[in-house]
Amino acid sequence: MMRIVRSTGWSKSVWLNCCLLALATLAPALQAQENGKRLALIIGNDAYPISPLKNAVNDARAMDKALRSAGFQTVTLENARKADMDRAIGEFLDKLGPDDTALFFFAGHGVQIENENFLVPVDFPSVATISAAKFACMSVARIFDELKRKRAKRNILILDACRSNPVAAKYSLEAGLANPQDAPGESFVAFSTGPGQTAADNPNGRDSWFTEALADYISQSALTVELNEVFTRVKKRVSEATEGRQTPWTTSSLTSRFYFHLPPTGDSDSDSTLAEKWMADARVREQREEWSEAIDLVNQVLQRKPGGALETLARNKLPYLTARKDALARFEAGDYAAAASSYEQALKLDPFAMDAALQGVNTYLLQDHLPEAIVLLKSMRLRGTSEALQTADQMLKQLAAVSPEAANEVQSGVPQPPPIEEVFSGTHFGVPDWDAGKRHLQATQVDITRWTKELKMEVPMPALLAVAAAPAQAPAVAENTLQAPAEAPPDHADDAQVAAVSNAIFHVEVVPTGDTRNLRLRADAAEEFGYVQFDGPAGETPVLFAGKQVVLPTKLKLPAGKYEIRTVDEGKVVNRQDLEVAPLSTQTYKVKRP
Amino acid sequence: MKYLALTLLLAICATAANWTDRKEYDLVLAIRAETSPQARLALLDQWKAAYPKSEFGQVRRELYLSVYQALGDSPQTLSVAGEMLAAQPDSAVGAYWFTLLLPEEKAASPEQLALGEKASRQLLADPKPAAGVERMAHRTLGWIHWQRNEYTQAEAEFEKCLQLDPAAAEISAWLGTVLATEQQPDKRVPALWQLARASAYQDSGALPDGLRRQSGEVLERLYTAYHGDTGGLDQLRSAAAAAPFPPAGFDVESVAAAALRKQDEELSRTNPQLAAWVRLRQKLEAPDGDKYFAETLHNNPLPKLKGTLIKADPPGKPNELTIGVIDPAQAEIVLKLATELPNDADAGAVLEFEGTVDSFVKSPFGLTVTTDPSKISGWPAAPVASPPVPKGGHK
Repeated sequence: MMRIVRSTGWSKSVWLNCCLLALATLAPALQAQENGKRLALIIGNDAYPISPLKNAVNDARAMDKALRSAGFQTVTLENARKADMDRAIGEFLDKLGPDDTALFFFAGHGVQIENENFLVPVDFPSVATISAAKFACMSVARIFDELKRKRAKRNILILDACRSNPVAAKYSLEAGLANPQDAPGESFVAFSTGPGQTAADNPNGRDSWFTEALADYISQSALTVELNEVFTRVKKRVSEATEGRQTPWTTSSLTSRFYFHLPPTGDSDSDSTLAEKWMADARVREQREEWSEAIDLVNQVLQRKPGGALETLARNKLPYLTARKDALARFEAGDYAAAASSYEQALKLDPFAMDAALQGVNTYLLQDHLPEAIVLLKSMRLRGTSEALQTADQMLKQLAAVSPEAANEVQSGVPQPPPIEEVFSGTHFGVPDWDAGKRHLQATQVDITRWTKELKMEVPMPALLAVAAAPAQAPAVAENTLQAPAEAPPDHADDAQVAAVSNAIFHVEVVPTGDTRNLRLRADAAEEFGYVQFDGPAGETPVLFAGKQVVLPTKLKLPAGKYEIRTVDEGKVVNRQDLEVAPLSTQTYKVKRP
Repeated sequence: MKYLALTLLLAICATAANWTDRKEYDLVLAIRAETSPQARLALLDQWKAAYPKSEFGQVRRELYLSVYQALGDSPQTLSVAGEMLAAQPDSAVGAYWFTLLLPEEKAASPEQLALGEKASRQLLADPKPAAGVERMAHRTLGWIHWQRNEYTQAEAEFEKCLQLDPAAAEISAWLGTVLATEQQPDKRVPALWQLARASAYQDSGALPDGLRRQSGEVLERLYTAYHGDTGGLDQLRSAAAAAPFPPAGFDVESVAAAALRKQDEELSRTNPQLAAWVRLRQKLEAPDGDKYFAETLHNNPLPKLKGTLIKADPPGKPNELTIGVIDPAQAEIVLKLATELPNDADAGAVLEFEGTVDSFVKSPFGLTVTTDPSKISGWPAAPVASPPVPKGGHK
């Protein structure tokens, strides 16, 4: 009977299923806003033996989908028994950490007993006393107590459980839910209607008025408003839908702002694609004939002044939506003449709005205004789909009995459809949408890591002279090489810097151990030298030879002969290696720290 | 004007196009009504499959382009823009989007680069381009040259970009990367400047925080390698944040220049004569060394120097001496004497000399100086002959 639906969080398919817009770009922002998790427990109970409901399970499913789109990890129970609810709540509480946001949603029957609220499981038994009834239900106070103990960052408790119910009736209890007592700190509590009042199921919808509105707003990725503002909108919408009979109720002790959807940078002004998202949402609203919502979104787009095709589209769309809203309002008020006029106006603004045309036809026919209705039917034949054309033809055939004009229209044959430019009026084919490009450039940055990660700026060291007082005895250092002096190296270092190195830091010494050739007597002695390449950490380790110093990596030009390479650390020789330098040879020595 | 004409031409072409049948029209109306980009894409695919030869092919591509754009699928948008250019080489929409999106392509083919260059140049050919288009075209051209390792052209394009939009920190990052990639000594400081600007500039046009931080890390790494440490890096950042290009004469001392400077300071203190010779030699070995020789040194007196004799020719009474000044074994100066010296000297003799600079060879380095024996000191005197030993020995 009961079904548990679990989601473990961010999966691509969930995102794709949940929203049409590029929500993936919002995910990092949500993570940036909150270090903790977003966890939701959702329960929807329809299958009560007495007084079953028809929308609560749908409500739970709608909330599950909406909350997942807002980054919540959800656990959803459908038609839960008392034991199921106890266990699920326990597991839910166990998952909560101090940085987390906990959201508990219940749709089903709820009851207040002695000023305390209880949620009714589907296996609520027939009990004789109020006390027994309490034990058979889930106590909201108990949930509050557990939430207090867990100290989550914030707790959001939403109860769509204010319907008239069998428990209340059986024990002659007060209707609706009680004002919540002793809610935990950092909590937000919402009821589908005010305390002590009852809410109606939505007889024509799949969901209750309250949950339908709430899930809808939570699903809107572009609706980047704070939690309280979301509920302000829910209250307005439910109140309008129920003509004031039901107004959701909220109370909050939250000290931090909470957003179901946050713009990428946390600052909506910096998201250049937000206007596009709003416009996409507006089009969805338009299709659902939610004119007020669509108008709000289009106005938001226009306030942002996105320029280009998007702004043109929004500017053109606004009077159309307004005309449709007016038409509906006037039609519902019974002012058919004004409604028909508004429908006609809407059709002028969007000649392909066949539903407006049809509504207009019906509204004119209600007033027996045949010529006006036929004009709209002609429009349907000209611009509508084959289906709209068939509908128009059928209506014209019926009207042909009383209207020669209708008969003529039917006999005139199928008109040629308008050119494609007319179908997509407002779109300038062949002309780039410069502003869309600009928005794309603002929103997209090319990652250049692949080019920069290998970049180097090593500067070749120039030929440096070891500074000495006597110029004729100063040995030369070729580029990155230290050449041995012509004379035999002195036994002592005459350079204070070299002395300091010798005494203290890690370094390498090159010490002749046998005869080296006396080059002083040779005019051209290039073939009497060999080379030793010293490799190791660049710039760190000095190499000393003949009282002179260079740093790694370096190539020493040494008179041919025998040497000992000493690695010295803190004044002690930690490694020795013999090396024989042959004329014109090149060897490599790797310096390793102990 | 070209765009206007093109637009009109397209309009005429589009007007002339006809629906294949009513079902095609129905399909297009369904596409028009669809609000979900994914569903719209599916309908476009359906249209394409059912009417592959539709007269509205280019319009259909444009609709594809807008759908992929709405889906944030840049590779597909680029691909459609390429198709538009293939179908109509002067397509303004194709050229615009291809130019705009090409730099996002991670591994652009040579063909794509060629098409991107053509598209960019087409946009630049418009005498009255829309705002930002010229900058965007130079951005892409620079990027294309960069991918082809044509760094000088890439630099030129990015510089044009920065002249058009000095706030474009993205271009500063690209230009800095190109300059650093070149590994040319004279481009290192401009590279550091551009990377500093990319990482420090924070007004409108700045890089997003993540990329700014990345640029900053690259800058610090390169700056440390170049300068030896991070000293002066903050000043560089501040200066670069205020201007897109370095002021004339701006320099950052490299670790090599610092070493040379320290050497010069030390030599000037301990051995000014040698310091002067090292400076002179550096000037002669610089790229404009020949010019310096001709204008400053030739036929002028050489300051007094000390050096080591390497070779004296001809033996016996030499009139040409080869001297090493820095390296006692490396010939640097040849002294040509007006008159010969009276005797030989061993290699290794330390001489002090002066003279007039005659000629210069850069590689292998050699300076020829004319002088005469009176201007050379340290030449050993001829050994005194031993008195003959009388025959018969001692009495």
